[in-house]
Amino acid sequence: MNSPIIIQIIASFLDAKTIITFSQVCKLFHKTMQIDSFWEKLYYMKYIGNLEIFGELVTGDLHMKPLNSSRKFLKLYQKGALRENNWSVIKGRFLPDSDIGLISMEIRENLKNPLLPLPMLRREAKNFTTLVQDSLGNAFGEPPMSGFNSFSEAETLMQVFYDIQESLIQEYSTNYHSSFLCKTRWQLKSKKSNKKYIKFLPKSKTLIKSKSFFVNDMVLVVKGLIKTHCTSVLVNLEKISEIKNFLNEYCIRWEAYSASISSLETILSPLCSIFNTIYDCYFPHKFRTPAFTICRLMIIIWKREVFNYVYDIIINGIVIVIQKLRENLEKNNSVNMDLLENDILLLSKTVQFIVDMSGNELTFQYIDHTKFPAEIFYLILEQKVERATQQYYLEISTLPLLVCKKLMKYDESFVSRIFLQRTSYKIKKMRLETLLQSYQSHYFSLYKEYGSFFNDELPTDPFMYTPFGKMLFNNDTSLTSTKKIKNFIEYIKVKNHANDIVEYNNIDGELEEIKKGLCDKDEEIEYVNEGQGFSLEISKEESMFFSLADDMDVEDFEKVAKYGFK
Amino acid sequence: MSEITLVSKEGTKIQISSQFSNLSGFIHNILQDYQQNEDISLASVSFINLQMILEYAVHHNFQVPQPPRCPITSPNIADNVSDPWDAEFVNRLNEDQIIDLVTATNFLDMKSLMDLCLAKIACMFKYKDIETLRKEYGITEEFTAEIEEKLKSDFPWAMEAESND
Repeated sequence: MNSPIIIQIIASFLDAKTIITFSQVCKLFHKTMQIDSFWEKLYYMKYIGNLEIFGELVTGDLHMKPLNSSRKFLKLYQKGALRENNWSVIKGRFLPDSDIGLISMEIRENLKNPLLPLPMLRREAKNFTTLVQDSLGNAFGEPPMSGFNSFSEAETLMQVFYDIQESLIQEYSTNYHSSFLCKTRWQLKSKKSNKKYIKFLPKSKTLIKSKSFFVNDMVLVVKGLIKTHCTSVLVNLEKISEIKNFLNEYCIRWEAYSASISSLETILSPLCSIFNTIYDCYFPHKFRTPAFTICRLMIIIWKREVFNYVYDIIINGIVIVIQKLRENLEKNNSVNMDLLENDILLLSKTVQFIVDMSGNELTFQYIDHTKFPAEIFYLILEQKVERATQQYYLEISTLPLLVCKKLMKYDESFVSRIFLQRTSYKIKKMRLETLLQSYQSHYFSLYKEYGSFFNDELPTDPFMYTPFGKMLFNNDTSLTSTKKIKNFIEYIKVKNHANDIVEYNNIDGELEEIKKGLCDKDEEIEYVNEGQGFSLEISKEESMFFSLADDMDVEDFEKVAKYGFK
Repeated sequence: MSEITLVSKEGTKIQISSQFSNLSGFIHNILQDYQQNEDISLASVSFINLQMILEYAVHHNFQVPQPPRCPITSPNIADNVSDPWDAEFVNRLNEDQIIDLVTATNFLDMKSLMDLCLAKIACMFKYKDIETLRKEYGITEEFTAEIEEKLKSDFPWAMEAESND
């Protein structure tokens, strides 16, 4: 082992501050400090090592290429440290140092190890299956609990905010300040020229004394902590190369993050409340816009820092796991559904977590509607699943009718558990069409083989005037078709296959209803939501504000604000 | 097989339990094709170091002990190890002896003892300023003012950050 490696090991026992001193002693030490694998170790130790989490590990043998990102851990570590440093910048501005320390600690702890078990969902689980859906879907209901539950000192923050509210509103009245307020409020992506807006707060004395920006800065430092946490989650995900393990890890992390959202909403409610008050004073709006909440802020950060980098892998992963599941069903004669249960649960969770990223306060009201206006991520998933399903159904439609029916039954049982109504409904249509096709080819080939000896005295069978009879008529235009069909139906009945005719007719009926767009549940959902003022379609301008898409840029915002704000 | 014979650089033989392979990757590999009564030659390990290594191994009952705290939190090694004996053991040695021992543990692929020695060296860096370190290690080379300025501007966070590590 040569001396640079020994020096590296020695340095690995040092904290960042000592390492920087160490690096200034001589060139060899300085060179050691520049090695990125060394910072990787430090980064893992500080940000990932103590990312404790609950949850069972699900693994499989479906391998994929891990996310290929060339990380510079020194930079990552630097970013994290700078963001932490920002807390010291807001110290002493209206709040005692001890309170700032407590708030920072509380946020950090709630992010890393949220208060599990997860809080109860407010509506029945069948409406909103995840915490985020529950939170957004109920945004217009009862307001979230206000105040701090976790520590008494933090009540001071609430009090301080109210005490300085008037003066803050005064200070934000200039255009300069209000544009920053807008950017923070809507998470606007800065124009290139404005890009330099303090990511890392300068420690200028004038700024510290000024009341202005205090709320903005507070939001920015909170955002910094959340971003650092999200990046560490991404770094953790990047190394996984097994698909089920990846999906499982993502689910555990997102579930924990949802719990963090829930607890931070409570802890930081005074901050949101004052932010909304100030904002509303300067931007009285024409139409309904969602409030500034920690939930929205955290979802947007997660989208930007984690989801945008992994959604492709998640979506492809879901499709691959479904394909494997179907292959297993196809290969094995007797299927033990209990064995598949783990996979189905994992898939259903993952899909719900994609849904979390594909809706908002308004659209979630229609989550069970067949026309749920999902945003892009779910649409991509749906498209890929539809394509894979189409392919699979095409393959099994060539199998004997009995096998096809059995496989379709399994497929039906898990598809409806995994996907939203809008997708299940589309897949149901495909399934019914394939089944009809399979019935048709099976019975029509039997029909063709059926002999030419007819019993003329047979009475007319009612089945002749059902879709099954029509199908045979459509395929046989000869003059003797009526007699042949009559005898053929009798033959099926004698063979005890009359049930197949009933099934065929039922499938045909169901398919007709789907084609007409009839779905009882849709009407019920529309009735309930329209009564509360939620529309299935919202205007483009309004949707921009409600969208949880990763960003709205300044230009878009200004365009809409012209019509929406005075 | 219960005992093995190790031969130091000077040719001195020492008998030790084969469980020593739990601590040393080198011995572990040798034992894969070991013929009974065969001597194991340790060409890079002096008798004194071998004695110290065996003292450490016997104390820990040939089991890998808890590693030192990482990052270390104090310049005193005793605050960074779980077994006070480890701190006493390594505190008995001067810097040259530690370096010798590190070389021996490196030869024997004995990570636990090597970490203990290197953690002890790391303790010597903790809370010391640049000039003291340079003086202690006889480093005369100077960074240019430009590089020094760059270091300061690149890592202000390390100087200002709260000690959250």
